[in-house]
Amino acid sequence: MTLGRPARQVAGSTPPVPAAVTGGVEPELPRRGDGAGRGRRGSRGARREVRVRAPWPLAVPAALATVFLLLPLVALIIRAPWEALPDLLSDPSTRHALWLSVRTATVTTVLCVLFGVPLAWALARGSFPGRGLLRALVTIPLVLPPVVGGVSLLLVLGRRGLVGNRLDDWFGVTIPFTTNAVIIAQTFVALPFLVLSVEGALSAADRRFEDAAATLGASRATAFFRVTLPMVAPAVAAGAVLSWARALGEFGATITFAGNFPKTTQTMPLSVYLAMETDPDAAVALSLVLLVVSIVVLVALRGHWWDARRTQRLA
Amino acid sequence: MTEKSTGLDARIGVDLGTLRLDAALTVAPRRTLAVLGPNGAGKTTLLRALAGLVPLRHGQITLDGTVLDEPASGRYVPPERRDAGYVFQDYLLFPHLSAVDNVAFGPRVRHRTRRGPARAAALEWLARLGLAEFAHLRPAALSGGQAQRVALARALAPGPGMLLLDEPLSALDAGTRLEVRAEIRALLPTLDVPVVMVTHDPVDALTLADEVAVLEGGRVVQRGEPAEVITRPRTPYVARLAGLNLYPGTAANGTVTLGPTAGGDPRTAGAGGGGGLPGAPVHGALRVAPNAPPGAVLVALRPAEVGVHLREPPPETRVNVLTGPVVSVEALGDQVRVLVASTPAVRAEIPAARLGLLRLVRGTPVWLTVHEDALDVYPSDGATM
Repeated sequence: MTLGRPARQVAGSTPPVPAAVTGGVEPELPRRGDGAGRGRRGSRGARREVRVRAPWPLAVPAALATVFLLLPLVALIIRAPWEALPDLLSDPSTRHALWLSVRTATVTTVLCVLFGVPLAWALARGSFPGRGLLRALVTIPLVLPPVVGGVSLLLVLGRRGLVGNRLDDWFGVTIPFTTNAVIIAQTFVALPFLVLSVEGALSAADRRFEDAAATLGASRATAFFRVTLPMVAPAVAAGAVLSWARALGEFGATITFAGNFPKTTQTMPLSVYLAMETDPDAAVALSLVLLVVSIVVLVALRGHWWDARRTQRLA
Repeated sequence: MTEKSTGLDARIGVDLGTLRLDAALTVAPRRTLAVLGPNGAGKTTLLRALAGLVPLRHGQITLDGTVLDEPASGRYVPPERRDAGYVFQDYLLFPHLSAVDNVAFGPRVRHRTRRGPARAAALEWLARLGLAEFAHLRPAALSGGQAQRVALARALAPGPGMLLLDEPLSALDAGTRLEVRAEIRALLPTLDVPVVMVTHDPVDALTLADEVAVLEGGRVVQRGEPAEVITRPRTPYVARLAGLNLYPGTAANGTVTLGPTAGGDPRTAGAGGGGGLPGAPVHGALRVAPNAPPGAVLVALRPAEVGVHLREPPPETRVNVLTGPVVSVEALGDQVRVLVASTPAVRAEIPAARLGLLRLVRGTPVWLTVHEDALDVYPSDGATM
């Protein structure tokens, strides 16, 4: 709550923002206000006396950190070329980039769920040697610089790569610098988010529910799809949203492995980067779009997190 | 189902950590066996083995003539093909499904019943248990008693070949427990299958079961009709549940010499008796009715049959007189339990009003009178398994 206040003050102290801006971001702001208000009313009624002022060695850095995190976003809103925005966003290249990003991120998310949930299950429930090691390996893409990921993908799937040369020789399939390469690069970086999210939920889930399903006649597969999976659905959804957001913002692995070709591999982050050199206004406009998408994702995710916690409590 | 052997016949051998379970049980259809035992005796493991959730290490499980598990022949039927209706201690209702979908789950996955008919049958079960109006609720919205009944309906809906109840009433508050106990009691005779219920509550065993098996340390130490088990305990655990004093000894010529007996169950012999001081060895001798069976025996004594006096009473021919200091005094409603460190130690029960006269505190020396007819003497190797 203490963190929320300076944020609102900063937001409030930006009068030069035209009405259109508030219109764009408004759907999010009142909600937040509501929530904070509700919380505050509750705490005021229940424990008015015990409310303590944060000690300054904590309050000052906290306020600075808040400003540091939010000021760039505010700058983005202030400096956005609002008059030119409709033109910039209706530019075909922008539309292509946005559409490509949404499309690839969505396909990536589907792939992450299809392959990530079984992997999470194996990590959480499997009984094979090296499970701990595998779990550690799966998290590597989380900490690996995405550029390195892109280079590694080239080494595997590039035309001279370990697998890529076979694909090229035998099937005439070339992956690098295609839209498929974008999806592969995004999946590489996004998959761990889903795996970790689902694996955590599976590990925490009470396995005796599967016992109960078994005594009712369910095979292990049936028990998984009818009982376990629905019970960890909030975690799958949260992982999917995280993966989608991560895929949408992917830059390093994509530009290394898929290149930067308009319509086929030039996603939103790539075109923002490109536009910064030629048309900064367009870059700001594109960034604004990504910011809005991020906020939408955040809202979606908070709902799922809340759900996930509730489900766990019930279980 | 074959004609010749119906019901459940099992010898369950499971090693799990420190637990070594080796228990034989037989339950006919329409009969309920209560497995009574302290925590850690292996009760839940026994049920899990019957359901196939824990494979046997040795022994055999046969239901209606079909072998479900037999390590010797390598036969093992997995839980999903065992037709065991299992009511878990904490129910384990699927939190993402409504009550009716929880109950319909079994028929749908076991018999591939379609959604519509399965839900209709589930609604019937819920209605039968008085839950029709809660059918659409998720388990989180149900009270403990309602969840218990949904769990029961879920276990019964697929038409199981046996019903396994794990502490069916332990998670309920006292009032609900009475209510659900009455419902289970009404339900059990209508089921055509053998029922195994594990519990640590003697009231469940006495009110719901046709037969009681006492499980201690992984072994059945006593089995019989509920009334018999509770009046003629064979172990300190059952004696404590029944509130009886229990002494092992050797009977001869109208006298039982207390102490470990050669032929008796080691669990009985080594312990200090149900009414004795915890851990103290049993000494002394008791005069018993002349028709008592000779040899290794157990002597049970109801605390209320013990007379407590501040002075030595005049001797009488058929009365045992014991003496010792009071160890503890504990109120039980309008009765008071007095533990006396006599030889043997005795738990006596006197009216609260009499305590007001005697004014017993720890250390007060007292004399106890026990008529020999009050001592129930029975062979210690009888039905013990």
